[in-house]
Amino acid sequence: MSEEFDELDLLAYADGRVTGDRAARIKAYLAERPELAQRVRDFAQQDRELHAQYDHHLDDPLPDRLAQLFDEPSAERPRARLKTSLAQAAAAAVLMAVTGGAGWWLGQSADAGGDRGFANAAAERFILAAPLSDSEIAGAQRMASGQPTLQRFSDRISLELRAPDLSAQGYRLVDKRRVQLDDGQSGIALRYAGAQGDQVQVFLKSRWRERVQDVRTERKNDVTVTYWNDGPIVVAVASPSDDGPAGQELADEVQKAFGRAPKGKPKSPDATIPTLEPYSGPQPQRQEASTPTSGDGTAGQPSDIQP
Amino acid sequence: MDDEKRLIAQQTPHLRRFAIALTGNPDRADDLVQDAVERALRKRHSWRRTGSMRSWLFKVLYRTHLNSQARRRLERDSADRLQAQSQTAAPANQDSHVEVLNVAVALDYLPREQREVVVMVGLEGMSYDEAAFVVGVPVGTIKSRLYRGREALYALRHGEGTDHLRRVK
Repeated sequence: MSEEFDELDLLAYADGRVTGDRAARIKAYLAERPELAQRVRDFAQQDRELHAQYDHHLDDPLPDRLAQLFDEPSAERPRARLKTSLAQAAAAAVLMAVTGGAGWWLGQSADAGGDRGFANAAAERFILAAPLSDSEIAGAQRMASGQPTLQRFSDRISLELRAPDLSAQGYRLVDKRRVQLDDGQSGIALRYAGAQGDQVQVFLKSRWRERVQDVRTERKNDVTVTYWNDGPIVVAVASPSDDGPAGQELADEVQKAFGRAPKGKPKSPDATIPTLEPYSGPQPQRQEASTPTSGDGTAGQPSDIQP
Repeated sequence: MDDEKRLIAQQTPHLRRFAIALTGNPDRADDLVQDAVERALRKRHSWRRTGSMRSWLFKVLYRTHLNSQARRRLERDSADRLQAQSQTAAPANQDSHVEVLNVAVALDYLPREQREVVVMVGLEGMSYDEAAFVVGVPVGTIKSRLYRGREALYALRHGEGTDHLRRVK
């Protein structure tokens, strides 16, 4: 007798929360049931139409009365809606100031404080990150039992690097996306899921520095960021501060992955050294390009990251 | 500007998109976001830093939305009673003839609980767990509401009629 799937199985499948063998079985199940398959396809189409209908609002200048909420000092509650182009320009200017690249806890620019601005932005991104989805946690749990973890990336970015493999530390790469970091430049955020639902993020940005910077660690708001620059890249590893030694172990592993010896250990002679390609400069982009990974990749296979 | 205020500012465009999808009305959405952001700014120091700021903000907005819905319902009930005293009621199935063109219009026909979850998961990309945190119900309830909401949208978009549904906005 063929396997039966209930409505919640089909819902999870339509929402992309089923991967691997189970997804394949549901796909085969739907192939024999065209009407049900059409329904599931429509579920996904609903999401696409929602984005088409509402995503442009992310680019709207904030209405004046909302932008003023972030003015310093707190303004009187403005109820009237200002519709002049001048008012809209002012609102946009306020928003740009709010979301600018200055360090948010250290208050220093990236150049003035080594790469502290970058570390600040990394911690900020980490705090804002959504919790891991059910499928991401499930994927990390599968990894713990030896199933495939990483998937090869194919996006074009200016550095050719390989994503650190943190599977030995119990983390699976689940997402890679381009993000805006400090001073308006774009970088890459790699998100790793742990089997317990915890997450760690690694942030990369291309910036050539002849002088190798010591590894530094900053801690604020329960987020620990370990960061350094080495030739063509600046790297920041953000993890919850309560990770303690585990967080440090992850940072060490990332350093090794990028050919740097952690904490004074000798550099491995066969470590992969990142190669520098012509950098195309800052690439402002409001919509972040996300490349969620699935559990269908090859275990332990490094991923190409091309900003 | 302190750290939390800056983070709230960064999320405000996302809160606004969510509010517009929830209410279907940009002015009402801005009222909602303004109320929620003011509340979040006042309470920002009580945010548990071990959790996601994003989830916390959406929860604040969702709670604010529920409160404003309750206020609107009271106002509407009062207005309906006044109207009933002076006018004949509208035909029962008047709304069933509205032609549904896209998912945004169809959303208006869903019960509030289903519409909210469809928007949270379908538009905001929340996991079932995160949506359960924001709404304050078990994950199973989220899945059930989401499935029923998606089924209703499917029926609306494929011409299966709106007789059993009432436009709620």
